[in-house]
Amino acid sequence: MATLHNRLLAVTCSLVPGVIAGDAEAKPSAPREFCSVYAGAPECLGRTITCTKCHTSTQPVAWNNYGAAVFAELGGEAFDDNLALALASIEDVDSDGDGLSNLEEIELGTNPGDPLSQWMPLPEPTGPGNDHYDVGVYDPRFAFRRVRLLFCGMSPSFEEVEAFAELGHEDQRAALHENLSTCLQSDHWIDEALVELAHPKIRPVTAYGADTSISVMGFVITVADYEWDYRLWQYVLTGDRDAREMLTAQYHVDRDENGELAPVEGVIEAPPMRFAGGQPIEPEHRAGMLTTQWNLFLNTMFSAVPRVTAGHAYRAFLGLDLSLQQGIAPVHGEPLDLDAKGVDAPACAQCHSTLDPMAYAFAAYEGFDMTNAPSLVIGTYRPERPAARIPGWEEASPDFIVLGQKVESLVEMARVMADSPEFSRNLAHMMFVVAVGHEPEPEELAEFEAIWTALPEDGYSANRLLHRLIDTDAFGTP
Amino acid sequence: MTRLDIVLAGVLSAAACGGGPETVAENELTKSTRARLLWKRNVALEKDIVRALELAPDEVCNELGTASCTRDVHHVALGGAAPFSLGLHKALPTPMLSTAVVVDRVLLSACSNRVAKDALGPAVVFTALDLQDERGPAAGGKAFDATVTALYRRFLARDPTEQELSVLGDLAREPMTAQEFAILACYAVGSTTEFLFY
Repeated sequence: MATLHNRLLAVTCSLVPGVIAGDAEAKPSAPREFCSVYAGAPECLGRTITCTKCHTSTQPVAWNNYGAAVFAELGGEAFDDNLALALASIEDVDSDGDGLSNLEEIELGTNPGDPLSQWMPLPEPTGPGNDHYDVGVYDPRFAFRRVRLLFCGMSPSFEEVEAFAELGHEDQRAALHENLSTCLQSDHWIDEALVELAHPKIRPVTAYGADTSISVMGFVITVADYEWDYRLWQYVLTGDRDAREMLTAQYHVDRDENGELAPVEGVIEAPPMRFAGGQPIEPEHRAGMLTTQWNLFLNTMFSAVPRVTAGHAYRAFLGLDLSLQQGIAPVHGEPLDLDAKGVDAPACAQCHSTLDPMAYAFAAYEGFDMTNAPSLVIGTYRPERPAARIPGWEEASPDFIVLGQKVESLVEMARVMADSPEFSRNLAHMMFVVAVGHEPEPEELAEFEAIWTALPEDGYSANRLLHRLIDTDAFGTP
Repeated sequence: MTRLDIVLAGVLSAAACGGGPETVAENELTKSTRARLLWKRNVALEKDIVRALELAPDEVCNELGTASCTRDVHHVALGGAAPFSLGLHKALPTPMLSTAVVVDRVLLSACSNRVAKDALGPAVVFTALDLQDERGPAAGGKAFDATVTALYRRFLARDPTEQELSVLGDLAREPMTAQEFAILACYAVGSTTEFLFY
């Protein structure tokens, strides 16, 4: 977890001196200093810190009152050596004038530089009682209805509610988990709810998919079949499987003769009379949903340096949206701007110094190549592609870097992503928001942290994560 | 305009002006300090109505008799995503202005369809009513209590309180047929916040 804290905090803290000194180089000591001082702060318990902690703008650079206070305390001295002292020296100051000191805000999880960022602890319920709910404490009856609606798609009947109410408290808690286990195998959860969660990650377009109505001389213009992506997503998030395989699987998933999801090994040819729609990449070059034909087609398309593909992977699977300045971890010397797109301009380099070293790893994967049309090349592995498409590729020999780690291939990059705390936190965050209906509030952050940090011991099972989630006060307290 | 339309317009107008019937008196219960409810979105709403009224999914509500209100036409207003038709990959976080109107539309359709089927017989939900009667049940009578109780059990999985029976008793005092009462009582219980949020 400390690794995540350090990385995320690097985003916030390294930008301040980076801009001041005109140096976009990462400052790895800064987050360590920050979290050594504020180890128990909610911001260090799994949120994605952004530049707004200190900045109102990073290009041109501008600070909020807290960032300005840090800047002033540094007094032009070396950032790495003086950040901890600067942070500590303004702890008792109320930089944003909202009545709470900076330290109080850091401990609460609000922004000490934004007077509108506030949170009040929940009051204790008062009143004569409530015949319907145990207000203010975990109420299994309340949780029962939520479990059934969220995961089975339907409320319990009157008879089921009556039977549940007859159980003792411990038996009710056990019954909740039995119901959840049943619901997690239901068509509603697998084919409705999980599919809906996948839409923003897969981003289907009917006109290009298997259901397209477009055809030419009898050939259906399926450019790629995103149903493969949906099935892989459904498969790895059910049956106590390892959810990391959404990024590392070297198999694909189809429906067997019984309609069940089942892995399929090897290269998968396109169906007859369709341009595409199979999975042409050899298994050893596959990286789960990152290398499906659909993902490469939709995101890489014709681009030489697949920046959109990398940025989408970072956002969809790690929860780090570079467009929101989340997860910025500049790599020294980047961006190289190999394709002369101007991404080394200061305003662009802020993000591209993180993005481009990831995008290089996707360069050996074709998006959509019409060079020899009507013969199309869609979503394939072509090791010669970077040198052919990117001038100076071989001379530059750029490093592939994600989350501060150098890797040799996209397959290795996907493994680093899947094993990262960011992946676990993002998966848990997605489920938390679905089940609870909002982002984790300050009083819920401890429960949230407990859920996502338990994923490794739970074998990265989404099902086990959900069993932990329904036991939280955030889920079951009316 | 049918007689039901007129009755419905009157009841809905009264409800709008009056701020809606209170299912329980606010000052009699301990209030939640969290007040963080989940919105029962299109798929769950449809399934709960299907279960409550024992209808097939395509009997709940269809526009022009063919397109599902909950799946195809009003699914965005009801909280669903529309990735294939609109490129809306993520459902809206909160209800829209039109959501309340659409919920009314769906519930009135489903309730009307259930009453029509029960009127043809054999009755499934409104078993205590004579649906051919030109007058609705008397408030507090056996048929009234049985009907309201059945609706509460089917929609909310609990029995109505005395106060809730009293509120629906006001409805029964309006001049209307048994079928009109059945539709409006069904709509009244199905459109409670307790049914629509969880």
